Amino acid sequence: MDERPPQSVRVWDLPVRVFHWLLVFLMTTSVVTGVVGGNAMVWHMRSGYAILALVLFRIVWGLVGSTTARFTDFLYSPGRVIAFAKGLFLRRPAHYPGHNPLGGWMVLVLLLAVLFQAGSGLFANDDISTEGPLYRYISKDLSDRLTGWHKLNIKILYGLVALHVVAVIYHWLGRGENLVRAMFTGIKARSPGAPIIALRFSSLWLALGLFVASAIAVWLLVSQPI
Amino acid sequence: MKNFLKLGTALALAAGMSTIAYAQMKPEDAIRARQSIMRVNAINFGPISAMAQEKIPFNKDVFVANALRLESVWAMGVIRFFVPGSDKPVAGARIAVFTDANGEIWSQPEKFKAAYDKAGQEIGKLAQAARSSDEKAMKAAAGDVGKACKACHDDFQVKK
Repeated sequence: MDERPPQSVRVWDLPVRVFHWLLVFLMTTSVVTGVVGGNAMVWHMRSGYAILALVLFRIVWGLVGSTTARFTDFLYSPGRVIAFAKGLFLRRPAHYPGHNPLGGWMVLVLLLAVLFQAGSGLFANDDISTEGPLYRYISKDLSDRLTGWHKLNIKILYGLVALHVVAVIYHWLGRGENLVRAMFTGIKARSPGAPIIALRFSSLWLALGLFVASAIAVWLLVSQPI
Repeated sequence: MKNFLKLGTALALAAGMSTIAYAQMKPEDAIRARQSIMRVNAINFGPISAMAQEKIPFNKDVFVANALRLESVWAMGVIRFFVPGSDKPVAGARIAVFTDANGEIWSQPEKFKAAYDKAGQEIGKLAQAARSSDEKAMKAAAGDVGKACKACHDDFQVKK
């Protein structure tokens, strides 16, 4: 009988992993098409709609999804965040199967920034030929202002993404945790002595249903007849 | 000889005055003129771009008519209306209450002219494609016009 605890533990469910890598792909698509302009703008808009659906799904999944996907699981009190941040640079070992206290808040900030980027794009105009699907409901002045914020927020997003990547590299090189692989496989190495925390995983059918519902909601929002 | 001199003087005067006329164009008139031209450009380019991006069905007659009109309106030379002193709207003016023109238009005139000329070239190519009746070439040329518009706006429009 082998009584040793398992060396690795499954932490990320399939919906979270698919969400993450689809978001990486779609954000890259959005940046490239937005910078190129011209006829690529049609794909800029489609990519934005897909991102919106994805983020809506992720927010709902943060309420009803698997343990490590839930906001209540990874949004810690300021005291915990500060304590964790101190320990991080002292290289104190910490055991968080899902997001750690700093990473958890980063997830929320990134989600909100991406949501704002996609949401403001719906109302934006470029003074050339591209208008977001909801442009017609607001004044040109307000659309111009939202367009300005759309252009400002992308710079904030560049900064957030850079910070996110730097943090992942730090965990890898400084702490020996390969978070990128974990985001592909869903499995993290269990540090010795870490307590075994029971993680609950929600149904994939529920995830699929919620994603389809999010996609339909976005489609209804953006495809109203002119 | 005397008459020739008189004619020369009159011509020089007329030339000088026309230069002065542009230089002294009221800022609100200049802003109004360029915004009008750019608005008409956008009205003509809108359906072309929508067809190129397949947001609306391709209609060759509409595409060609709009492309040729865009070429004509562009030929008005909107760059002439970026006169000195028109970087800000006139306080209290009933017309031309805003301008999105960036100060770099006046501090980097060569760069601005290059961006303007690039847009003109692409609009010329679009009109050429429209005359050729090659749908694929027309749509591609529309995309290039959009890119040229964007490049100039990115550098010379006020960040809102």
